[in-house]
Amino acid sequence: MRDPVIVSMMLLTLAITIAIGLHSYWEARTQQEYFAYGQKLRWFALGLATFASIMSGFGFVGGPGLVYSMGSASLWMTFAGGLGIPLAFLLVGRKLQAYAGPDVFTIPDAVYQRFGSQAARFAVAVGILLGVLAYLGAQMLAAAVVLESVFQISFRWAFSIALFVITIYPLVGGIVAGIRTEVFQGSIMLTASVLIFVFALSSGGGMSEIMAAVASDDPSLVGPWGSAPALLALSWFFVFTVGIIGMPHSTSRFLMVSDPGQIRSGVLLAALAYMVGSLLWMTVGFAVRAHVATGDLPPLAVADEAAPTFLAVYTPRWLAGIAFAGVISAILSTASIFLNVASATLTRDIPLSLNRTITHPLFWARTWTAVISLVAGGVALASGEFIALLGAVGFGLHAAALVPTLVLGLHWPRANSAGVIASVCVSVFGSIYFFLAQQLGFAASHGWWVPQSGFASVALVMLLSFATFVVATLTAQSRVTADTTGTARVASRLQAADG
Amino acid sequence: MQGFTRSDGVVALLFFLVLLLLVSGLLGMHWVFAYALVAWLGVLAGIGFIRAGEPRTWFAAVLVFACLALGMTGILVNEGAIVSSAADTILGFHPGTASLVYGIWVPGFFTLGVAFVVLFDRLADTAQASS
Repeated sequence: MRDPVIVSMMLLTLAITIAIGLHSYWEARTQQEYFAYGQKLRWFALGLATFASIMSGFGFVGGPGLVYSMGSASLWMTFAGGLGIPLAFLLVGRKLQAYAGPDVFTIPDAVYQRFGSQAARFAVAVGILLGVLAYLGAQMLAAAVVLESVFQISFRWAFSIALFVITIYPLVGGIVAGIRTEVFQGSIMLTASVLIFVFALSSGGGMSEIMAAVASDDPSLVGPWGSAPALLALSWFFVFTVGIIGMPHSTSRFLMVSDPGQIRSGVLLAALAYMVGSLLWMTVGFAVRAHVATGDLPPLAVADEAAPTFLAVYTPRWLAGIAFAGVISAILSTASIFLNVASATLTRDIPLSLNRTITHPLFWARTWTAVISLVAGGVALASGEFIALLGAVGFGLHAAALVPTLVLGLHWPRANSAGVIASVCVSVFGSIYFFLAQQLGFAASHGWWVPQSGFASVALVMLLSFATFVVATLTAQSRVTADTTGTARVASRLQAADG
Repeated sequence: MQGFTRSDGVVALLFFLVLLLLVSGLLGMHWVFAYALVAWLGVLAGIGFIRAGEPRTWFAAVLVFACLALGMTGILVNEGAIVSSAADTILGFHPGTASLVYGIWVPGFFTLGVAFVVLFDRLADTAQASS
């Protein structure tokens, strides 16, 4: 049955999101504005928008579900953000910002400036695009599931609404719409996280009581590794701490800020907000598990029902309304930014890397936004659960493809384009291999090799990509020549900034 | 041809840690993997923080590394502890999980995030920027 409070909150959220997005049309008149916020991003928007785009719908629904089923193991995923966000700001924030300029506002642009190689720019652009396409369909599917559940409509209608909303505002207003709506969406997510955390704690009588109740049912869940192998928890921590650096939808913000000082203040807001989101992830999952252990709730058929069940049973309707608005906000914010990143890649990065001239960039930006959205939506509809599995590959691919390029590229003078291209190739092929082997079952059916120790394959691909970058750079060192004009310009800019 | 520089040494250390993480991960040696991971994050913090002639930047990097190392030790030492009642928990958590929450998560954010804000103006380094 439809809940009028939740339906109203959801409709209001969607309406405000679309309104903010459409209003942004007037401020997205150039490529620089459409893809890079006119490079005028301030710390508050940087912080809140970074939090909103990194904490996707998974943090509100999938995270508590993982805690319900695996206990503390999944905390390693979400706690990684508290370290990963400051690490990303520290390692690449200011250095990447120094590359920003009228012609440099995407990560592939910065890669070209750093390495002087169109091939490196092309490789990074393709790596970004493949990861985005993998992720986008999963976000659309998640949005449709939420809308179907709240509005009690058919899945096809829910999917059509999700596709429309996710597409329309980034198409019209570009990244300006994306960031402004993210500030609104991030505020809802933050409010929901704080309130639900308080309700979750009080529903179980405090954290100690919750943990004792969970331990009485399954002691392994409360230990530091939960019910997972220790190596899986540790490799998740590695992937999510370091991997945030490679997320193009958050890292590209450093090319949008108005001045380096904005990065200084933005870090605390982004990381603190993410840590508050982690509190929801942790407490809701454990609280529901404790209520099941004490017999207050029947065991859940599906772990992902942990958060919806908690909202339905233990929170007032108005809070459930805010929470569902937070969930849809989290999904929309991540999807819209990915759409903009993909549009930038096809409108600008790939043509430039092939030495093509860009004419009518905004027309093509909007056209590509619509095309990518329709393609991702079509694939998601046609393949159902398959696309949800593919979504997990997107994060790993971005992390493996971009972390070595950004960390080593910005901090190791010897790094060259051979390292970039080789590490992106390893990331793409490694991600595809493990997707086929693990998600599609080729390991079981065809005997493909996968790690048996609990070691996450995403971590394995990231490490191989990193090692490949170093080896390829050193191997090709005498053969690679590069245009270093961009690097020299950045050095002089940093020198000027330091007085 | 450039000679062997300080940044080459840092990359060599990272490369060694990558190999250690790979081997320990594939062989299932989670203690080795855990400390290699702490060292890896410590080196990344060092790359971000440490600037020649700025002792405070060294302090930040060492503080991050020490927090992570202590937190990880607390987790590994307490990983087998049994919780049978609320009295067995430390600040609401299983002793090993408490080390994750209060030894890695919270201090990790504060040492990395706050040190970054405090030291922001000292972190510019034109020599490194020329990379």
